[in-house]
Amino acid sequence: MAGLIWLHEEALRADHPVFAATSGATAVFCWDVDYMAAADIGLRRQIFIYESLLDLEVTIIRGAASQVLPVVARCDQATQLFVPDTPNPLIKQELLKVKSALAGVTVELVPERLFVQLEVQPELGRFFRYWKKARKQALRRGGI
Amino acid sequence: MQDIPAHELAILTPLTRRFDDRAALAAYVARLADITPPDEPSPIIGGRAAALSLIAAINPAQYSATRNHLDGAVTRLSAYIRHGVLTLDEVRNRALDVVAAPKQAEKFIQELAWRDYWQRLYTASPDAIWVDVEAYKTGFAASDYADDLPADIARGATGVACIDAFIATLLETGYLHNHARMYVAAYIVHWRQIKWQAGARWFLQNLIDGDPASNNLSWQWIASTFANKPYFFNLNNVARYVGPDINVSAADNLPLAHSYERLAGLLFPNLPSPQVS
Repeated sequence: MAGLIWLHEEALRADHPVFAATSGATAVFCWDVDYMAAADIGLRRQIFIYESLLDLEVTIIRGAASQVLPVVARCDQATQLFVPDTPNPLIKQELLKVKSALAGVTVELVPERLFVQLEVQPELGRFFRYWKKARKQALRRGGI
Repeated sequence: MQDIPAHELAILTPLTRRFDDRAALAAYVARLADITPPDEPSPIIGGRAAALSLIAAINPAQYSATRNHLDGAVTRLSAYIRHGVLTLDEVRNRALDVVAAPKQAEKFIQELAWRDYWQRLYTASPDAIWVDVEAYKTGFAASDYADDLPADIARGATGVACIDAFIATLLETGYLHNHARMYVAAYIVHWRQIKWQAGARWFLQNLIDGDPASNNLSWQWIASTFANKPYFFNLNNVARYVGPDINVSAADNLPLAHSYERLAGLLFPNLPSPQVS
């Protein structure tokens, strides 16, 4: 099954788990100036992102993901789309549009490596309540 | 490969990956955004190689001792972490590698944990990132604060010398030391009485490491909408942490040149007694 990776601006490294989730997949970064404006990503940061992309085996295509990815998926006959998971609501909104334009393509969100592996989500009311629960793992390699 | 219509072929034409130098890359990206390119490339270089050279220089003990000083041993890793070029996990692991015992890296790792904390909050409530977590604890209501950032702040011409110097650094480099961020943010919210959202958005637009969670929630900490008290400072505090290149003369920084008690009365006249950080 052919896979496609939508690499976005929060996952700019070659050993992100999204690359391990599939082999031989085409990775695409959608250079979407409207997204950049909506996400308050100024020019200096855009330059940083572009520089970082040059390290990666990724095709940079101009346009919104919901315009670009359906065309790439059809061209590659992709049946799976892998996306680095993110809390970013703008990326999530765009992903909904991508999904609706990609009939028959399964979409998998691939989580980032964790800083601390906690069995229960700590109370987040204030930092030091979180730190009290996370400290032990945070001071260990791998956060385990 | 199936036949592809012409308009789809246009979509599939990739952007270039070949540049003679950083200035050419900057000019290309600026053209894509229809923006005038910067005069000087940022000192923060994108990519993994630059990130790894910085990670190799981590010194948790020096960081802990000097991090509040503008010339302290801060790592400048934030942009790389923000965009996933580095993970918190590998930065923490590197810090542990260069100390004799984990306790010696605790302050450094705790600062990494702040980002994890902000991200957990963001994940729990992604759409709440622009909303006051709590009410202001300044003696004012949110409606007492202005919605928009004044032009003199945006261009670094407030007339408060140290604040203008910090803003110039932000605009010229896309980076600002965390302590300077706190000074600028407190000046905007408490001295100028502007909503934190206006300043937070301006920071995001200008910082290379601008992260909606870390940035916005830190602004809320300054504002007191995510803290028990507002954060403010005075000129003596600035003088203690900046280098000789920043003008900290009282004459050029009049609004900051007071005792904490006097400033508390000026900035938060509705509070019964100093309730500030």
